[in-house]
Amino acid sequence: MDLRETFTLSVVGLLSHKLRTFLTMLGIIFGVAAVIAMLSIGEGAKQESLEQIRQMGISNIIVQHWDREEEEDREESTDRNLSRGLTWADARAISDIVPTAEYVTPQRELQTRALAGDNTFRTMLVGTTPEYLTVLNARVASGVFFTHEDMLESRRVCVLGADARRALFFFDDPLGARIKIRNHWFTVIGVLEDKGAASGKIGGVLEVRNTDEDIYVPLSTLLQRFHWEAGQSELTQITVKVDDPDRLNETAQLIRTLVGRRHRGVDDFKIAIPEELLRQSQRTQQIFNVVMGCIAGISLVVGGIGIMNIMLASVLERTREIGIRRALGARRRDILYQFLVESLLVSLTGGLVGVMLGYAVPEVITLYAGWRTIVPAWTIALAFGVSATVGIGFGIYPARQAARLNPIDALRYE
Amino acid sequence: MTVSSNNAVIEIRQLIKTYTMGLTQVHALAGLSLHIQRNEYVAIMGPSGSGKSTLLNIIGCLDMPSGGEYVLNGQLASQMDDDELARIRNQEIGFVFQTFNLLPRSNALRNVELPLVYSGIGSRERTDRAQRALQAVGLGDRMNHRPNELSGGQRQRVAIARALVNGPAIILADEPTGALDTRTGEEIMQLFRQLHDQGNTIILVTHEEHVAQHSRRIVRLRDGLIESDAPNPGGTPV
Repeated sequence: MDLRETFTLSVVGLLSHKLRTFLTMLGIIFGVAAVIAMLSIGEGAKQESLEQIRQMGISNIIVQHWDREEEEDREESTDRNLSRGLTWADARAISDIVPTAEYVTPQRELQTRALAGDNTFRTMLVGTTPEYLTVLNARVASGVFFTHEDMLESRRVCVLGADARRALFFFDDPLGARIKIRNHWFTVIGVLEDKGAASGKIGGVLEVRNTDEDIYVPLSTLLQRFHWEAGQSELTQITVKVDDPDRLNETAQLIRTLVGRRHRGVDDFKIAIPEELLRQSQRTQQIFNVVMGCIAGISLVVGGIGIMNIMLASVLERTREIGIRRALGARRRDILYQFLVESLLVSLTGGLVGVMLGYAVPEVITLYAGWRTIVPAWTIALAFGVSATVGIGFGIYPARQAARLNPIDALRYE
Repeated sequence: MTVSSNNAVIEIRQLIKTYTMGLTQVHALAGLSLHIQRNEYVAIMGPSGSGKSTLLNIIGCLDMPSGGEYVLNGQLASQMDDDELARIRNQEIGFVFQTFNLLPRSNALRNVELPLVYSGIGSRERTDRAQRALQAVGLGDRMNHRPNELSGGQRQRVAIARALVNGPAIILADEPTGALDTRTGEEIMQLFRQLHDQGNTIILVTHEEHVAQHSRRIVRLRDGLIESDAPNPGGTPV
């Protein structure tokens, strides 16, 4: 009996018990869908954190001001007298003293509202230096970024992030227009390219916000024009671009010592290395993937056992049929293939439906939970490979049982 | 393979079949010898437990003997492997069972096609031959009926068509009328007689005297041995 014949026979056999076939298939469907969904969620999270970290600069070191008061008791507020927090002077010191620091850009952030005509937009006003562009790999889409001259004269000019531009000006040309931020008027001189950034938290340490919503002004302008409460840290963050990525850790250590000494030992800052965080998050990701993969794998095994169970029952139920076929000239091999193809068909069809479901589930998750999901192409090959293996692995025993039956014993079976 | 004397289609020498039932050994066949020529019509009779069904199953290659020799068409069947036996069952033997043994979910045509499927014959020729076999047993108008849509006699005709379809050397029938009423049984026996007249070799097992009377030779068994073996003059065509 050729393969096509066996195939037809199996299809007919499966179709004669539609519900049973479907229920058996369900185990594989859910197993495969679970594997694909888990992997695509993992892959999406991986891509997301990768992009966030790339956005922060892979060869950067980030020194952030850390306001103890928010997190701990006020007991140590006397430290305030010893340290003034992160300052522009700290940034200059890093630039001067740390040999591996290629570029240093200080940053002061201020959450506020910007107005352009009738449009208002909640934004993060970022005071920084022209080095910001180089350090953060940002690009100007139109106009220019501010210069050191703008800095020296504390000019009231600003550069808009892509989202800020969209929110304030829609399709109008913002260059030369004036926007109002807390009683001060700023002239728009440039717009940054869309970074496609998203907000989130990396490795549970470093917060990343959507920098496309930022508005950039010269640091000197920000510090001079706006009113600041006494005792507030001058800077929010200093970003250091290191010339040699292999020396990130040493440089971070050096910066820690330097800034620590300047702050008279007050622990009011923290240092983060995006590259390190990336590695950490990848490690976490890997653990997540393995655990989820195992759980999904178990459901596949359970599905396979379901197939085996049904096939064993089917062999028993069809003992007489096997006897008749053997009496009419079927070889052991013909019987073996008949049952093996049946279980293979169940698992492969289940795998196919599972792949479709595995594609649909991440879509739904993205729609409702807003998580990014990516279905890697290789998971489909994996799903089919696994369902074929399950089909053969769990189908071979029942098929062997069927093929091993003696013709006369099978015929006499009641 | 081995010596094939004259025109014998079946040569059985010192055939032994032993079953183990619990702790005791049962000798279903105790060194039985039998020769059957081409185009013979033999009835095997005997009380239950005499070994007649065991003998038929061994002749039909459904079962293996424990000892002795069985030569079918000059080939030593008692030493064949499973694949060769499957080929013999498929091409040399047509089996007709008491309970018909049709596949319940397939129609008459598909049931008759079954032996051809296992001989690897293409679907068109298969259908063609199966149709002719069904017409030969008078069921040309019932081809697409399933077994449960057919009467007992019709089912047995389908089974006979299935036994004939591959042109076997011998037709074996195990109590072919056992599940039928007397009148239908007679019809089936007429069909066997026709087949014999057309040149087929037929061996049937029965415990009913009037069924055996249709044959040309009656072999009676007792305790796994031949008790008597005589031509049946009454078996001449009516």
